[in-house]
Amino acid sequence: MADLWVSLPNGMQDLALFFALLAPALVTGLLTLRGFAPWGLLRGMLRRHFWVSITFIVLIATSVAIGTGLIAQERGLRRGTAQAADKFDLIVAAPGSEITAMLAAVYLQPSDIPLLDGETYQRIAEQEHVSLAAPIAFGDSWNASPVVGTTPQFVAHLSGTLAEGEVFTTVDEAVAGANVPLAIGDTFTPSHGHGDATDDGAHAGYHYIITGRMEPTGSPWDRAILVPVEGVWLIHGMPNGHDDGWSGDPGPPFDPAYFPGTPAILVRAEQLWANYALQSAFTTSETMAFFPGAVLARLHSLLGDVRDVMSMLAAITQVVVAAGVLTGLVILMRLLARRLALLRALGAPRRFVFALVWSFAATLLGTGTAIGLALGMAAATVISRIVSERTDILIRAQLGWPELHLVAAFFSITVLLALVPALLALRRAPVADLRST
Amino acid sequence: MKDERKIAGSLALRVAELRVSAPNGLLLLSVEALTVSPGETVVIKGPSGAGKSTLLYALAGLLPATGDICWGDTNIVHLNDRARTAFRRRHMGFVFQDHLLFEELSAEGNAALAAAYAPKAERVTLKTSANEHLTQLGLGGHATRGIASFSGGERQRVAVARALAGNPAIVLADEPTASLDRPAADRLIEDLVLLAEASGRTLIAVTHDTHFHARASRVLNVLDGVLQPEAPHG
Repeated sequence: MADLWVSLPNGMQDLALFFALLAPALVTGLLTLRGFAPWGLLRGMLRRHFWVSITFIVLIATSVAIGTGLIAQERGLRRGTAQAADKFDLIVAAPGSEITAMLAAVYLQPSDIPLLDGETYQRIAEQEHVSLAAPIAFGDSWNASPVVGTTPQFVAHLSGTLAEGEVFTTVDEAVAGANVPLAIGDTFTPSHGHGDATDDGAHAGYHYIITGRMEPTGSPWDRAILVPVEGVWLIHGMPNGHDDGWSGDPGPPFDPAYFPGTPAILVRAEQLWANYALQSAFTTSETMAFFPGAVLARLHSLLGDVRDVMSMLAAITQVVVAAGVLTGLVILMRLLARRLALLRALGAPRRFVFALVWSFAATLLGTGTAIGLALGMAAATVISRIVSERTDILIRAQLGWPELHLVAAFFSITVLLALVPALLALRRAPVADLRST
Repeated sequence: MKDERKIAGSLALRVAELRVSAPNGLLLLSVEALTVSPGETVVIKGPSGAGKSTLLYALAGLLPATGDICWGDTNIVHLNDRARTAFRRRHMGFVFQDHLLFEELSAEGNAALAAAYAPKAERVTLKTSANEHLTQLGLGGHATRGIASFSGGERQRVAVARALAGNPAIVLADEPTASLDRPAADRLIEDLVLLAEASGRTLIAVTHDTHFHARASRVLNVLDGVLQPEAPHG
């Protein structure tokens, strides 16, 4: 049996688990309602207690929305950040915080990071199996867009083919990220620094012209403007990284004697194993080499712990709300006692009265759960959009199996609990209820 | 008013040494002997709290009792709850003092209420019968109207249609005219009695209404929880 389960594709396992979680509700419904047609009475009860029903449904929907929205949001955030770091195999930076270096080099968060010198860059670039060693020089900005100095090879690595235009071929050309509000042919003057620390006049007289636009990457690089690293060095009054005989074409090889420094270097090896060798080789007292994916995994693990705590709180909320709703139903059934007694007097089987009360509760629970699932996804989508706009990390909160499993389990547990008010309704004496007014 | 429909058999009632007690043991009702022939219209009278309704509910098998309550060959005292419920559904119709209708349903929905829990094969017949009885009671054009818009008399006629929809052999009515004005009460009495007589149904009604007493073939009297012996005929 275990072998059969393992042999199933993931999608089949998820589907099977979904139906297994939903099965108690479905079986209970089939057994309870078998042979009866309580729909007219059920609709009547819902109409008669319209606002009470709506209140119950809203309570259930809210608790389900919190649970499902939380899970979907966390997964979307995890996938979005992982996707944004996907192109960054290995980062080499000066020793310090891996997280700070990752936030700066991968997510373009402003940060002061010591520079790596030309000899270090040279050693990395000359390593066997290294296919790409790109300096990533950040520190300038234009209109809140980071201006990042790098190489044409890095642009090709990040974007593949450009959405339009061409990669820069001179030091005063630039490639805009997908979301930068500059068109091909537009010129701009970068400012020194970011945000409140921007010095707008520091680079007066220097202009870049946009020659190309990258494809969307779903990362903060969609908001960045990529320029030749030589240009960044030049406008800061530093050597251009090449000797006097430089042709003017941006990119490697660089001359260590004229290499002013770079805060980070993206390294890509031809084979996966070579990345590990490079990480080992450049984890020294002078350099720090790390895999952004591994750093993210540690962060996600922490995020996962937080998610577990929040999921537990959401589950407790759901249980408390469900218990409150079921208690409310018990009280409501007392109000309906005379009608239920009437049904018994007219010859309705006890199982019918049981089925009617249960189906009333199950309808509220089912409707609340379905609306809660939709609400949770809508809320997660809105929050994802806001987070994406603020971070430029493309976060997609989509309906996934974990949410469906959660709602299936919630629905099954609560409709089983709904048997309690149905059973309590049967314990009442019909004649006493018929005589009550 | 003629009702040619086939009712669910003719059932004579024979009660012997019936005792109904409260859960605390207090004797609520005592009936030494009572017989009702099929098709009879019997009225039970007596002061408030005397035990009239207790007798009616006991005859319906809704109260735990000792002794014998035989409808035809079936002693319902000896039936379990499930069998008593099934017996009520097949053989009895009920009319209550304050209609006890489902306000949010139509007249048809109320009259055919039993279709919700009847076996699937009987549902269509039940709905047809409910509509026919509504028509006979002058509500044919209002079958789809919501009960909330009905007058008291109309509501009680819907309740009668509900009681008769299953074509039961027995109709039990608990103060059916108590909440109606005189004209509506008189019309209801006529409808109930004629519909019962036309199809040979046994009608047992608890009522203070002297107009109803006048239409009954027998009037029984309950005093202090005891069914009084009937005065000799003639």
